[in-house]
Amino acid sequence: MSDDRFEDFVQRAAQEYHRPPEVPREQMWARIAAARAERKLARASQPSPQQRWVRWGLAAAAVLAVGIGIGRTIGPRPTPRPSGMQMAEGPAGAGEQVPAAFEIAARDHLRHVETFLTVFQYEAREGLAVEETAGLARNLLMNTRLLMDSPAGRDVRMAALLDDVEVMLAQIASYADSPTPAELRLIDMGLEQRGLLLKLRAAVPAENSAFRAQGVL
Amino acid sequence: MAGSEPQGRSLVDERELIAKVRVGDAVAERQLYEYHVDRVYRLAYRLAGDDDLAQDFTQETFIRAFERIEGFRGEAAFGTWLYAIATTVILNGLRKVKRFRTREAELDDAAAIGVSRGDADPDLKEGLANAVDDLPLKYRTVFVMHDVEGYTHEEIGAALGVPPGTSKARLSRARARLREALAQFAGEWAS
Repeated sequence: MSDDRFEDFVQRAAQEYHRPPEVPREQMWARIAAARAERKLARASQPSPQQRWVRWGLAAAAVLAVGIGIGRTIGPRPTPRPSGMQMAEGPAGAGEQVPAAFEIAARDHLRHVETFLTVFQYEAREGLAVEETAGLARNLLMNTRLLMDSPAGRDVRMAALLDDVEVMLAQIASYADSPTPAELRLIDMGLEQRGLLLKLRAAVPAENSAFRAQGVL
Repeated sequence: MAGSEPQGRSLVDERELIAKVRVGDAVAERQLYEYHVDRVYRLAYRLAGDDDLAQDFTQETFIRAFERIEGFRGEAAFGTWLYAIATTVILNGLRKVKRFRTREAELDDAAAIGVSRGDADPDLKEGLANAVDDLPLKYRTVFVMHDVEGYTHEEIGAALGVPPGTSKARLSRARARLREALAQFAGEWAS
């Protein structure tokens, strides 16, 4: 058979392939209008960058209040040690039971840090305005140090994670409120090299805190 | 066949319409939609084989187009720009919809009721539909756009972001695969 014959046949027969019904114009237009109105509304209700950072500030203040509470109830910070030494010298080690309230406070704090760093990294990479980060990082840094001194910091793994968080937040806090692109790149590299976001996500599973905190705190 | 760009209005009319859409004229939006919706929906339906998906893809195409119309610089026809959005939405959508093939099979059965089959043998038509379904998406897209919906290679190239020559090559490969898949029916189309 010839190519022409085959092509004729295909073009003719293919008209039946998924033959469209009558176009539902009105139905689709109504949905388009509704979806556009919904999206406009969603955009209008989205916080501006300033409003977002205010929310962050409030969240950080709440964590800070918890941190101060923790700080007032504890003594000097014990230094984390390898587990062998802990067995010999006292009750500090990975296997030690940290009081539930401290554990929850620590995880809530790490969740805030993880969100902060995720937003920070995204905005830095996208070239979006990264403002007021240093102040927020300082607040989170203060809470981190309080937690390091709390019973939560006696857990070796938690202490190591808090150490990493402390270094990263200290680095961000040391820059001005509007870091330069070079500074942003350095922070981003530091985050990547430490794998800090991965560690934080592993330490703070999604189902954590909100429900448990309601029952305990 | 659907043919090429919708006719019946000049480029100047369309530019005026787009200018009105840019300043939020709802009547102009509706008019622009009316001009192009058939072609977008038909292409979506041909590729998806499913009315729900075709409606979703069409709606998303127009939503995106209206949102991004500020970025339309008028270097190409509005239709060319719109069909590029449409093909992106449709192809991305099809890749995401895992149940696509199952639903397509169900709809093929339903669509067969009451549809005139013309001159061709039912088995051969079914064989063709199956063979088209089995084509890789990039070949199927070009085949449907060109042989079924009547787009030119220039239009296909602009919509898919490839040179017209690539569109021609894909169509040629698509036909070769169909020919191979339909070899058992050779006597029927030759007669």
